Amino acid sequence: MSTNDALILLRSVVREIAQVDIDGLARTTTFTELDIDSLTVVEITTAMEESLGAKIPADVFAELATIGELEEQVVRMAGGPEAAMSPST
Amino acid sequence: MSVRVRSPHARILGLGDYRPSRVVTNDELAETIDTSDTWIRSRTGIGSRHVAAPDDTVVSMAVEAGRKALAASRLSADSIDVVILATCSIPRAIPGGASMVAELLGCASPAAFDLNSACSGFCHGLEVAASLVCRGSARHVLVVGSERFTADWIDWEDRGVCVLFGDGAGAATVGPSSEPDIGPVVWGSDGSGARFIAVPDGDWAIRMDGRNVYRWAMTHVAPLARHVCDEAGVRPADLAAIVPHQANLRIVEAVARAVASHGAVVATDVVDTGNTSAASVPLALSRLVREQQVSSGDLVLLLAFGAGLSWAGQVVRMP
Repeated sequence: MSTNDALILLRSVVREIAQVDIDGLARTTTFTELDIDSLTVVEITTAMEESLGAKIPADVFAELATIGELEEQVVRMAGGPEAAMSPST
Repeated sequence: MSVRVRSPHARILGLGDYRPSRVVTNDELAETIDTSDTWIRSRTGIGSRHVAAPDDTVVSMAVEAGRKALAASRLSADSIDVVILATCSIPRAIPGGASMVAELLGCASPAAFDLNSACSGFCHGLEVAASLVCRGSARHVLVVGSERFTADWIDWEDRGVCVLFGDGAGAATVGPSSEPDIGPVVWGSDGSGARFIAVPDGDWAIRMDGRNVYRWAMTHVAPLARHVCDEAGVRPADLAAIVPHQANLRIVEAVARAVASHGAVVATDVVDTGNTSAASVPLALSRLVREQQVSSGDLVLLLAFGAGLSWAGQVVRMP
């Protein structure tokens, strides 16, 4: 999956799980500002990890706070070696 | 070398529980810490928890639950050959609590040992008990999960943790059976997540990396639940109830969705009991019996998981 497609998928996943539209939001927008609780962040990232066939390292995962940080991890996963090996690419 | 008379199988004979009388609501917690009923309920499903009185110890609560389990199974204390105390919150490691539980119940010098596998301790203990019975090492085993977190292990200023836990004890007696009434265990561990739920070096209270715990649970627990059913050769439709570890209602509901047993009752004891670690599964199971939501002969899926990370689960037939 291209990084652009992965980011489009992320917007769709956030919309579905958290009922929030992140299109056009500042990258510094925090999940707290969007009223997305920490468990919902887990549900979003887990869905993305399953789609991209890669994982966010636990230490990074524990500290994810903004839309930009999540997008950064999605881009990394989409371009990483695991993603390149997944059947969807 | 001679061998003892073995039993082909094992079963649960009776259940018992003990819940401290003091109930602390979310609103009561919100009077002293920065939280709210809405915040706690939306993230955990918990509305209240039982909190131990000063004289409610891990041992005393285990004794009360054990006494009820003995009564339910019509066993006398001196018929118990082994006492297993599953706990991770006993304040001192030496001595363990199991021998004191046995003494206070009036058991006649049984083997007695503590088992610390945190929240999955009771399900581990159930498998150990069944194995002891089947090997002939014991005819009757008392397995108790008992935890008192609130007095010794909780930092009441850590709002991400203190709202989660409660105190209590649940027990089961296990004995011989001609049928496989305690199904094959599915158990394991993943030490790479040991730091996710821990009392860190130099600290005294339980700290949690809630996000990573929840991520682990959401990706592992549902497949484990299906695996437990497969190992037991039980279809989800055959289950009368599902009793996942009562850590968080969102995880409980995810397990229920994954098993997809539409007719099964799903234990939601967490709502007014909180997370009682090793006591959570037997507390929830005892409650289903008391409320007549399960009947004798019913099949119930048990699945516990927690610090370690560790997990254990099995299908059991209700006594």
